[in-house]
Amino acid sequence: MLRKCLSMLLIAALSGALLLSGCAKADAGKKAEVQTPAAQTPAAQPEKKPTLRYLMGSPLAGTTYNDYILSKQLAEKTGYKVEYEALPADKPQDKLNLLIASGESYDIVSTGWNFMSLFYRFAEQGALADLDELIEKYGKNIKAQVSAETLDRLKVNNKRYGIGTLKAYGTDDKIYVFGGLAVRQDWMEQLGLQDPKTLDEFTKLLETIKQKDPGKNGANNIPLTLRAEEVSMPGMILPGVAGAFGIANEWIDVGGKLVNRVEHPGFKEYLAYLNSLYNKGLIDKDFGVNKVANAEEKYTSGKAGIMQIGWSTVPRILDATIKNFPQAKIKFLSPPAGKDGKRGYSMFKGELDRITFIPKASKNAADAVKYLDLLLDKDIFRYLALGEEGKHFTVQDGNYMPINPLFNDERNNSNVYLVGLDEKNFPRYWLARLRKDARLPGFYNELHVNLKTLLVQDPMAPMPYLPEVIKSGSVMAQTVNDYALKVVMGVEKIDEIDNFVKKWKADGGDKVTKEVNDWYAKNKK
Amino acid sequence: MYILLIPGVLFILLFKYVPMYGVVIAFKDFNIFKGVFASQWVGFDNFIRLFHSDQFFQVFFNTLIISFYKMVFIFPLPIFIALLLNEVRLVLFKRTVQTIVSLPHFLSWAIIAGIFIDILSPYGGMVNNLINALGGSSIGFMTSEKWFRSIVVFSSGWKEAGWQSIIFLAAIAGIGQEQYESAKIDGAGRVRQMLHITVPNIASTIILMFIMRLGHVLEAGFTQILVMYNPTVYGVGDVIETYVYRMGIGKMDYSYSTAVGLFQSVVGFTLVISGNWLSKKITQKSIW
Amino acid sequence: MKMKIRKTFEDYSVDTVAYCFLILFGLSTLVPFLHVIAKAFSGNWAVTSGKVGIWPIDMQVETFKYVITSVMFVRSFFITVVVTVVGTVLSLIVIGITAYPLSKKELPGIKVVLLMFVFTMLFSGGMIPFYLLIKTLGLIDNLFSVILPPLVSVFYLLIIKNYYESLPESLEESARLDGASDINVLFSIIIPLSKPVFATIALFTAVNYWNEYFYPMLFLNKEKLKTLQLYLVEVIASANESVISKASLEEQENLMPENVRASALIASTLPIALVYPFLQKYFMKGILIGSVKG
Repeated sequence: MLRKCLSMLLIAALSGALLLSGCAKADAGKKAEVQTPAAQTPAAQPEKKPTLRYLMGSPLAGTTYNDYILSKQLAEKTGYKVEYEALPADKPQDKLNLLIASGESYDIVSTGWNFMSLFYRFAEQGALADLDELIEKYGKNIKAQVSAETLDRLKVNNKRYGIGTLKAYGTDDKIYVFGGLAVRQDWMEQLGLQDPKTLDEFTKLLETIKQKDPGKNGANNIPLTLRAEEVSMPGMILPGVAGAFGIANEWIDVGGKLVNRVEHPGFKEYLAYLNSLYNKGLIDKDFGVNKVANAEEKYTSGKAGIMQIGWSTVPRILDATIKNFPQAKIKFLSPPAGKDGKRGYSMFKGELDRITFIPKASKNAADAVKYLDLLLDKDIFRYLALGEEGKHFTVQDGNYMPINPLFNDERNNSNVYLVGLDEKNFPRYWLARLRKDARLPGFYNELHVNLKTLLVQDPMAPMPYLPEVIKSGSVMAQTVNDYALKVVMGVEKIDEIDNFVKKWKADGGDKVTKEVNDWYAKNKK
Repeated sequence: MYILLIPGVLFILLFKYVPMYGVVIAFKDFNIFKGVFASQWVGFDNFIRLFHSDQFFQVFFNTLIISFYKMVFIFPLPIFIALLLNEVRLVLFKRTVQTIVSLPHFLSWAIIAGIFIDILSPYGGMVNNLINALGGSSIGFMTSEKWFRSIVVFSSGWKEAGWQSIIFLAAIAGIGQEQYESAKIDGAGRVRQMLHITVPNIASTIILMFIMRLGHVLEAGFTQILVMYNPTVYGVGDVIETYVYRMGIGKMDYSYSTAVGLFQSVVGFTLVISGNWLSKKITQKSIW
Repeated sequence: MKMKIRKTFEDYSVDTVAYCFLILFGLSTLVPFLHVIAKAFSGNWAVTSGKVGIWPIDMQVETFKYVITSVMFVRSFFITVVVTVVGTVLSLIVIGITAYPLSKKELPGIKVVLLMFVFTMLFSGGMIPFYLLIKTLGLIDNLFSVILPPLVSVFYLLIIKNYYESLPESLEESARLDGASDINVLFSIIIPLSKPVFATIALFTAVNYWNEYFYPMLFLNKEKLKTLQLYLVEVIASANESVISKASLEEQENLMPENVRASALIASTLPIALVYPFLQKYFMKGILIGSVKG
């Protein structure tokens, strides 16, 4: 019996092995086929376009790039065949580092902004193709559509190594807010409460929720829930409230100089305030442990009344909440004002969304730039972002409206294909994406339009290459976040903050502050 | 006889020993673009950086103590389960339980951590509900320095014990039945059979497993702790690997992470060698 | 033919302890699994707000159907099955053979070889040289890059060697007196006697191949060559804290709903988890005697 089993498995294994080697060979054969004609007659057929190897920074949700219809449509429009690969979802930077260092010959690499430090490292090591000349030669659309400002952001040692895709959503001035304090409006109405204007009123609101328990949760009543690490800004536990202490962002302009929040007097008061809320049981006792799912669970199940969330997730949260409480309503609070009237949510204007570069090992750098330039052709760009008029979208009174489900099916993922933007038109194209869900524009407008005067620009949003910040910025922010969390939860004493600041300065804080200010002073001129 | 060694030896030569030259990067300032050989030698700098880093001793201690707890409390668990399963006479029950207790092995730590966070939540978590019902007040287990290590040790035992017991079950299955028959004739009860036949027969497997476990003494469960801990319990829960990871010191710094790995390997290998030697002295059983 | 023996007090107490403990422990390990299954078949809102226990709320099967019929899932499932079957069989053959001479302590020099194997359990050259080796061998984007590296697991080798050592030598000796060669003895006597341990190692190896993430992540770049674990990480890890916090707004919107993630998890975990029950008959007692006689 066992022997029979074994022999069958053996046969299966061997045939599998044969199959594998067969596949591999067939594959290699195909590759060779593709390459030879191009290599043999480069001059005779100048219009012959090579297949481009395109590496994406993250996998596509639910499908693959090569299967996604937009890839095929773009191939038709541009005449370029593109073969996509994607970095793994987990630790993609490590893999990219390995691929680039071992000289994989990708023609285009396009990633999210979180690859910035890696990009600069590649540029410094000379692993990337210098794009100045290529853009000059083949990039007339790139030069026309992408602002010089954006292009210069990816300069290293005065050479351009990448093309930036700006975060340019919705409004013509391209402001961008992540989110805010979302409150259960129906609870406020039930309790007859007004929007809190000041920090004191905000505290009162939390206290009232705790006393009156509108959700009837008993011991499980949580006035405000949050997660250990705020998504938009690592190091800020509750950004909406931080604004009341004058520290809405990581760096604060104080008299023309940038000061890190750690050294700002508001930081201590802010932590003391949160600690008092924590001690009074007004914020989630367990927030240090909360992951995204935990906080959302507490909010949507009606245990918690306020949560800091991104506006794009509100419809999803609202849907789940309404299933539990049909009368539920959610709205964004305006940021409460502190004792000297300071307030505000942080805003990012001029931040990059994606970066795209060409490795030096690429065999088709010129064609890669030609291809990217084609994507920025006014019509092709619109086709890429929105699709075909009358098929994917319509124009009503100058507004772009999506035609679903086709728009959603074929353009939902178009954002990762964007390399540079038609910066003038894109904000309005983007609104079509916003209108995918009829409720999204409302939540978007609450923050970007209604609260516009209460937004505080992050002075670091347009940051160029600053080696020290790139090197140690994120670890330092993490350290600050951990410290802040310990203070709020009472593990560390707020009185000893001076020691922490001293250590922060010694561990690189001073270096970073100097570098940031050198750039800031120059940039203002 | 030696001919039979050829495939296995060739394999480890190619896939283990050929890349072994990579350990030299622990003594270099490795630059991936320059390659292993062109990178600068720095001697023991990376090790000095590790030992001199801020909380190294705290972290080193945490690693040892968590690892030690796991060895004392968790290592015997699969043996115990295998022995109990061996006493079960109902075949269907035995097979079902065998399968079920192995299930957590297939769930990732992220999921298990989520489940533990839920169960231990101070807001209506199962355990706190029970404490409240008994008149106690809720405990924030996951943020308590007192509880954190216990939770780590307990959850790791719960997750892997059933799966690990398979090895011991296989060892038990190999015991000749005639030993039990003759014991029965001598009037030995089931406890005596267990202690005098089953346990001695699987002793060599137990020793093998224990010595192998010794080799990983400085690995207290990186993935597990990473998804379970939070800043309030760094003091007791931060282990070497999580510390290195969090501080970003090892981030794409291959030299540093190789140095950390080498340190763990040297300690582990020393323990394996001495464990084997000791076992030979005391029990006359050894791996080699 | 078993005699009916009256149960003693000892029998009852051993039974009580064994059944009680196993039932309790079994329940505790079963519940989380049921929980994930329930999530897979629940409405997404119910999962988000933590309403799902071990029974689906707002039950639906569309999510699960969507997952198991998607091209990505089917493709990676097939690839993983091939890798697992080929890998496990090759692995068992190689370590089953290698363990035999290693179990002969009296062979001169064998301890050195053994130590050489043990050494590799603890020391490795790290990722970079390994990557370069696979690249030099031309195995990038070839499934053998995933099959070959973990083929010889020293740990399992030791377990099998340990088992060989526990077999009665008398059987081997009598065969040798009949003039059987080493290979003959190994295949006709030793291996048939080692069914329990081979079943164990087959299971462990298969599970390892099935769950292997690191090698596929490192060596398989083509979208068509994704294994199940790569697929799973894409679906699940896209919702990991570390990934979300760095994702752009739009990427966050496109996150997989939680019930999709649970479905993907169940669809890729259950098949391998259910291999175990089929191997259990090789763990049954008396197998040794039976096979000797037969």
